[in-house]
Amino acid sequence: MNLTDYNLQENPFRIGPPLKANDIIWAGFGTLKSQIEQRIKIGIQTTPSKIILNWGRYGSGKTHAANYFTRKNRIDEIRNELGAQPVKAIKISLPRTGNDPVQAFFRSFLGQVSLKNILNDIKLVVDRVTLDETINLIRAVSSDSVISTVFEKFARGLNDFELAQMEGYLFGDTTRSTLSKLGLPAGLKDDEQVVNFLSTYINVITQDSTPYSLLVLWVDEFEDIDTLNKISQDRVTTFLRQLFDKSPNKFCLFLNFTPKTFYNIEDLSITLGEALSTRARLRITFEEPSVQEAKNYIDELMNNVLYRPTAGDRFVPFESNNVIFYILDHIGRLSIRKINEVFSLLLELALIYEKPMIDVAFIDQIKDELVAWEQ
Amino acid sequence: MVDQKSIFELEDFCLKIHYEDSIIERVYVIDFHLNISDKIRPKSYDSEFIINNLIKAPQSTILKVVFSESAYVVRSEILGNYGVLLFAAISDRLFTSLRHIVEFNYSHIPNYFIWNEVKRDDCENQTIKTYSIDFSSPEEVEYFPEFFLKILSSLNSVSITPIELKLNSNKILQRKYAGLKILQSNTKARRLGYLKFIIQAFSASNYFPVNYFNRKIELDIQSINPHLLEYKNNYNGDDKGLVSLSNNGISVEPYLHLMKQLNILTEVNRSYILTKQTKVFFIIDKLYNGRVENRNQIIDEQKEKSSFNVFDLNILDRIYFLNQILISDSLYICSLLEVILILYNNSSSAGIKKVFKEYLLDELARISNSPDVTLNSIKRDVVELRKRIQSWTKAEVYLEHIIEPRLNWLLDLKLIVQIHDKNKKYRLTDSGTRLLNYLSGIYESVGVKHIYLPELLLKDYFTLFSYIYDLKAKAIFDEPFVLEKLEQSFILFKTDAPNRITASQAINFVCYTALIEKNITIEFNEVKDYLLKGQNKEFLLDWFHTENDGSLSKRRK
Repeated sequence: MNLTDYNLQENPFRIGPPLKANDIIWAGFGTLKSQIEQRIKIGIQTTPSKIILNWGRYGSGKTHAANYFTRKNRIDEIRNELGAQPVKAIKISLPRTGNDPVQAFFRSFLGQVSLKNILNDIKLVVDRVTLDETINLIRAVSSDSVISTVFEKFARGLNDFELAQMEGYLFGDTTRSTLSKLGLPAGLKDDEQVVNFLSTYINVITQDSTPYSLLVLWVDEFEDIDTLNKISQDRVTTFLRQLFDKSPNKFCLFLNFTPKTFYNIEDLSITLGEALSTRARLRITFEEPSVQEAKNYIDELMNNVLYRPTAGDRFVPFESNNVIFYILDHIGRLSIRKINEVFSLLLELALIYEKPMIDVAFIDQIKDELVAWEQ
Repeated sequence: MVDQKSIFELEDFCLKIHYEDSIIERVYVIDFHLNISDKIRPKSYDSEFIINNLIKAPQSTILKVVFSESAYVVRSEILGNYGVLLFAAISDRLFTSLRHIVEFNYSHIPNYFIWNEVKRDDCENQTIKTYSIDFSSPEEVEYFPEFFLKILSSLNSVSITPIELKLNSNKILQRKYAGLKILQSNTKARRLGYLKFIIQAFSASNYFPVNYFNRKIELDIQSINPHLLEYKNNYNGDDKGLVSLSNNGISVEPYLHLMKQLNILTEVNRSYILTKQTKVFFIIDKLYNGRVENRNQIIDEQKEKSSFNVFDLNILDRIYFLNQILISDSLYICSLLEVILILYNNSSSAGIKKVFKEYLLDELARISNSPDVTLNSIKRDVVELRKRIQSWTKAEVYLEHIIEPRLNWLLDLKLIVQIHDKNKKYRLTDSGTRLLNYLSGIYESVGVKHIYLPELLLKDYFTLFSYIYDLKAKAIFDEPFVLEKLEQSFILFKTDAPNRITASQAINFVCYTALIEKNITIEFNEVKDYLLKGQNKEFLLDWFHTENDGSLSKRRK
């Protein structure tokens, strides 16, 4: 027996994120999706930058949301509907290395938005408003002569040799020869310079909402800030605050939080607190699903065209919707991760036992295999 | 002297005399560690003979005498939530003996030990409790006979009545071991009232930049300094530990350092904020406008007339500070209380400092040698700490940073008083004695006094507090009250997190207000278990074992 006997191409209850961007799908949780999309639409259509705090327990879908909105083309669909220019969306997990968290953050950023991409984006600006205008813009927004010089070089264009040198420079190469060849006075070492680099980039490419109408930065696993020492924690929060300060327009910062508590403080909003206390803080809650919401999720997931290209009975391989409810009623507090784990295992067990369908009798037979089962 | 049964054993170079007094059901065992040239084979001799001949015999020199006294636990009574050992209270006998020895030689408190044995006797398990004391210096050995005679007649009891506690097994307790807690203290940080004032400063702001706070708070503190002298004169307090005005904020720094040690303040983004645990105290203090009195206490006419004094700690202050100190500093605080009890007539600050270093070293050895302590991390911590304490040179000078502040904290907490005669001496109050009753009860039950305190206080603290300060609070789990206070917590302790507050804040809020408003005791673990069971329809608790705290949220309707 295999999954096609269940009219499925693949096991839809995946436990890790998919490799191909197009395989990231959104099932159920319509309200949550609208809330996030609303934030993005407002970001596209209005100017002031926003910080959005995503709160949810482990396994509530925050990372999935980050992946969905940054890797897949969903934001592109939204901006097209609004007739707006493209949106730049980047997901970064908070660095766990203690020594230089801001540098780690920067490298992660460059890993996703390569130097080539940055150059292309600047070129788009030059093509639209002329080189001189671009340089004026750069000088106006950068407030840092080194960064200003770097971006001016971007604007003028780099040949292959200079490109390689510049990459080295951005990744920390500050040898005299590199610096002199690039005509730069110093390397990018300072946390504040990293802020200036990023904010200059954001400000230049979103000026007048062209070529980009918004830059979305989604920071995942923010609770890992707890693994850093105090000094590093302060550096990260200061960095985010300064980045937000220097990018007052067209910048949407999503932060993924869990409601975990810590040794001396209530939760992470206290850590961020003073850094963001004067800025608008919007919240999105990744709530625990009710049984009905969970059922909707399962239904939409199983029947997504990616997994079930040929439509059929929606509750297959389960005998009926009641069986699905039966399971959901017996696995304690619901989270998406738990649901995925339980249902994934059920499918695999059903295949092993060669069951044409999953009914209550079968579940009772193998329920000891389900760690989450509560009688 | 009544004729007693005596048994002798001679083993290696140790003469053991086992001596039973059936009337008061005490058993004495005296180990004479001897250096003897001729072997002496005694038959049954009575104690006078032993003392007069054996000890003074020219053929033998005694290196050390280990004296032990055992008693059968005969009966216990329940006092509140506690059972009180009324008969054969071994801690009482131990401390009584120690006090007498110290009267003879007040520069040294001898090493001692307590242990339990269970004997099966006529189908019944009987617990025998034993304490032993080492007479190890030549002067002490010589003093021993005089001591032993005193022991047989009655001595003035120190009146310690250990509380019999229903404790988990040692294995379970050891799993919760969280380290040997010590506070780094400075001799200047003496008045707990200043800590209260600094906490109250956070009414003006949630946070204060570190660079700015010292000078600001020092300036503000000047307004309460006049209260200090009044505290000494009218409140049985003391006026030491003044925060004067400096030009760089250095005067208040020892207090801020202490507050960080006690986890009252912490730093985030280079600013000071109150910790989550302090917020409970802070918010209740604000709710009562800083004037909390326990309803059942008789309001002191005098106090009503004069305005209250910030250094005179009220019940809320004491609930909070006593807890923080007990969980952060148990080794030094417990040892200090015992030393004060034992030294009695010599319990001046100087007298205490003379004996304290040795007492600590003995105390650490007691922990290590306890048969109930098997966890390697405990033994390792003990070894490390012993090394550090051994290396104190000029201990009596260094101890000023340890003893002076703690004497004053205990004074502020009304656990000790000062007696002003020739020297300034310290004595336990009834409250202090009751705290020692609790600690002795732990020692008699699990063989160690204080390393499990943080864990034990989660199930005992409010009952203990009521017992210490004689509040006569009843243990009642008032469910409507609990639910009401949890509901209120969602407003008082709200942060940016939606539908979620820190569990320990909510639970402590319930426990604190239960005692203060209704004079009932509800313990932390009771509320936590109630929430974890999930039977209540209102709230959902997520508990994180690694942080020993959790998230409380409201169920969706």
